[in-house]
Amino acid sequence: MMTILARLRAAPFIACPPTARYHLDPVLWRDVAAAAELVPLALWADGGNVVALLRGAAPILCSVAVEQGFYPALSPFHPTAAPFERMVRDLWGYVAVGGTDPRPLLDFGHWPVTAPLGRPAAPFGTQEPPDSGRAHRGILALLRGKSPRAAARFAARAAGEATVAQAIAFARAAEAASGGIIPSRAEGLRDLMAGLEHLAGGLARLAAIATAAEAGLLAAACARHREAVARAAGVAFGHRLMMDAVVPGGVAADIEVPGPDALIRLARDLPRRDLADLAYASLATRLAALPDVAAACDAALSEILTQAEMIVPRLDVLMPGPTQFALDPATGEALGTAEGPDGAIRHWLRLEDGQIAGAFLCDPGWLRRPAAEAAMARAAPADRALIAAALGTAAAGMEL
Amino acid sequence: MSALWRTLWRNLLRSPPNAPAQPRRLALLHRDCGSCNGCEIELRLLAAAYDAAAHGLVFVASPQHADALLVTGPVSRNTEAALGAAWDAMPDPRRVVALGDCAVDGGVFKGSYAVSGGAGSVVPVDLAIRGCPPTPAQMLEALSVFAKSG
Repeated sequence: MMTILARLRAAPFIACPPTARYHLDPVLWRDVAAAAELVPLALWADGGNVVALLRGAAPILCSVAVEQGFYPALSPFHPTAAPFERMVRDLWGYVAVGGTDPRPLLDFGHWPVTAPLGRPAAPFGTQEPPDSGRAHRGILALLRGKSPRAAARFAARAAGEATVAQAIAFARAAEAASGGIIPSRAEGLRDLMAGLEHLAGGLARLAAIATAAEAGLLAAACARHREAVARAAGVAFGHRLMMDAVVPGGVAADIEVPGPDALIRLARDLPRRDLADLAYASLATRLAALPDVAAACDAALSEILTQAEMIVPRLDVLMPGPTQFALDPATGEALGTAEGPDGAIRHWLRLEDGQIAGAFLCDPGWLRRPAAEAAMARAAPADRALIAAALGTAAAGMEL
Repeated sequence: MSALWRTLWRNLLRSPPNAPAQPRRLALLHRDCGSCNGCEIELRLLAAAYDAAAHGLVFVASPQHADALLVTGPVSRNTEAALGAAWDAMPDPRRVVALGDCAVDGGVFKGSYAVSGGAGSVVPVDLAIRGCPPTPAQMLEALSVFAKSG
């Protein structure tokens, strides 16, 4: 008897660097869905197919043909697939047969179209007020027909708190699909920017926890340091959040002249132990009863300390050289991954002659949000704001 | 209350003539209408690191307590009704600030099926603060002037 992985690997596939996309028949798709070890990380549609990204030893992509608007659901086996199936129904009009949750996620009857990325579907009735979908801006439709370079500004605005990581994941997908390798200086500058974004994210997370716990001194300290990071990033890269600083092919501009000094000063002036001491002194009583929040607090502090230490080494390893290359107008698909402040960001792109023909931008919010909601449902009402601050994510990234 | 009492009361509340001028208070009701969160990051820093309160800028949670509606995001179709409802619940005099390129005219999302194209498509905008996102310093300057002009 062949294992499910062996059967999957025997299916026809097309290259999708750094992996491959296996195209499955509905029976094999169903068997893959039922395999407990292959957890869906993302699900989207493209052309007449539904595509799933599964967590194996390495991420595995597989797809199944949509037959007359239907495909076999993954959600009966993996509850995390349910919001993706709702999104696929809203954006492409494809229905997951046997899906566990038929409610809309993004389309509440307010758009002038139904299934904007696929075939028109029977519209849902207008519903007021939607409890999700407020941040849906139609990003996937805006990407279509554009070059990765022209489309990068939409990817950079999928989620503002992770704009650098979103732009890196998008650029990596475009570069892998085009078969190009960015110059080492561009890679170094991306590491520097991503590190600053992680530092800012750690401070923002700690500030949110402090605010929810009414620890005013700690919240104010985090805001002060967060502001210092934004200022230094603005001096170094021309934008406080470094939006549009990463582009497919490299980075938009080299670090500006006073930038290295501003970053060295930032690294020197950021407190290390002081902030951790203040955090534990301010939050100790609340953290004792809430292990999830305590873990988020530890993770934020560790992120702040690590990233602050890494600024100068990252500056030191920057080699002189070019900061970008021109992407060849290629045909093919690829996956790009980057670690954002709230977890892994995965972008998938399919290019035709250098233009985007299909795309999906997967935000960590897809997996974090259900976990945060479950933790809040279990918690005492008085603790819910604190848990939301510690575990929650902004909606924009997953609502596209 | 008699006219005499009212006069006395008013005189009690009035600042002495040589007191420093207090900034005009502006109570802001923030509505995120599909923002990427970039404007919110800078808005939080405006409140926490730029001492917005000392400039008279305070954030309120209820439309009833607001002088101005502060809109971020391109006003996604899914938020149009809620934005209109917040505006309808505000007492006169009331004003609208469109914060960031998205709220000003839809920004990069202009033309998408999912956005209506800025705050002005739902409510009458009195102040537009451009930027993607505008910096806290730009917000502070524009909102301080706006508070005095009310």
